Amino acid sequence: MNEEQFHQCVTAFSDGLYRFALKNLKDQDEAKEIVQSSFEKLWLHRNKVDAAKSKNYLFTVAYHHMADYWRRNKKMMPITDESAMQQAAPSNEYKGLKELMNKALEILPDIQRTVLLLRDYEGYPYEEIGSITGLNESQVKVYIFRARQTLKNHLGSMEEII
Amino acid sequence: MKPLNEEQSMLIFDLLEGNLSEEEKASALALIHSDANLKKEYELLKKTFVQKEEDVNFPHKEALYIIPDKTNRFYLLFKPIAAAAVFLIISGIGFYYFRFQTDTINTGKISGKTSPIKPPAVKTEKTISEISSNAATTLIVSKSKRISSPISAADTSLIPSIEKPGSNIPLLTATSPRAATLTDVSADEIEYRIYFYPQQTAPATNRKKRSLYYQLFRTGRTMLANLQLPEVKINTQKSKNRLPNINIQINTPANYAKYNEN
Repeated sequence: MNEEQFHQCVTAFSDGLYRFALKNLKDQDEAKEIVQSSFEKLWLHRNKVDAAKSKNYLFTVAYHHMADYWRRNKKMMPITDESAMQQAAPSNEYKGLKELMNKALEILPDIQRTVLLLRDYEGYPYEEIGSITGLNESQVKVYIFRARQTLKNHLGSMEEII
Repeated sequence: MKPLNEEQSMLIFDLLEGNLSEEEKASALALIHSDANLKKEYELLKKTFVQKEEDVNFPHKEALYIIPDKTNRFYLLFKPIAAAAVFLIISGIGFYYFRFQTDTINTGKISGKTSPIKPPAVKTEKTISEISSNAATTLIVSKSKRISSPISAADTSLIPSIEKPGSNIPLLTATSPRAATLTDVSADEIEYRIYFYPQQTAPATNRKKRSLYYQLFRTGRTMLANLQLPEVKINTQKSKNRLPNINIQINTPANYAKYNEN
């Protein structure tokens, strides 16, 4: 990868990578740090990384950084659906589907949220999501299915209340 | 709302995820539209797809373009320069230590120029008279002997017999390799060069070479101390092939006389 290709990567993927990190971490500074670190690592390993696979490389590095962050902040504890529902109890602050979805995403376990965002934000197939997160294809599909079911149940309960 | 079974949930999931073929998709849609419960589930699950927030952008994109320059300078220039500097420093120290190191050994009965041990006055007179008889032939004779390791205490016999100053010793002179003549000459000052060559049965590592060197050094020093010479200056220096080269210079009474005059 040469300098020009690197710059193309910055232009094409920095926003998506930032959104992905921000949505997962809900911490702007940490998300910025992760984007910086990912691109720095990409540049340092530019001789080993194929330009065509640079996006995967960036998201993989970012995912590993996020996993470290979760470990540091002890956020890897899975949240059960019941407790999640209680945490995301309906409030008068309901302003629309977007906000409701944001709140619902927060109740998802980290790994489910990550695979769901990779799928919906970046449109990655299950196989590539697996290569980024270190899961196999079936696990990815199961996690996405469970995440959607959790979100669906949450949205359903909100609609009933509203 | 009646809960769906796993098969129905998976069907809707696969439909929305795009995991079905066109034929399966058409069939699934027909099934969903025929059942109000399924349709409601389908509509609800459609909402679980997270929409991209296009208004959220990375705010410091410009800073990322600077990274190559920084890393270029650091990794392409600083690192090699630092590595070269470290290498040169280590090489310089090593070269200085192993190439130019010269040890002067005082064996107890031996002294150098800085602290000579003067022989007894009576003996000095005697030796000076000996020298005066040989004054016409002031000569430094070099003899060399190669001794191979391993050296033990018993190997001191390998050292060539050292003639007393002033005595006649055989000197090999040669005008060409085929016309060598053996002549007895009288020497006032005799210089011996004794080389120690370790017998290596396998390629020696630097560590092994150093070990051999110090072993030979210690053995050689012990042997020379046992020679009971009146005054000997011993210089040990590593030769070009990094093997110890011990140079013995016998200071004859002539030197004592010069010393006394000074």
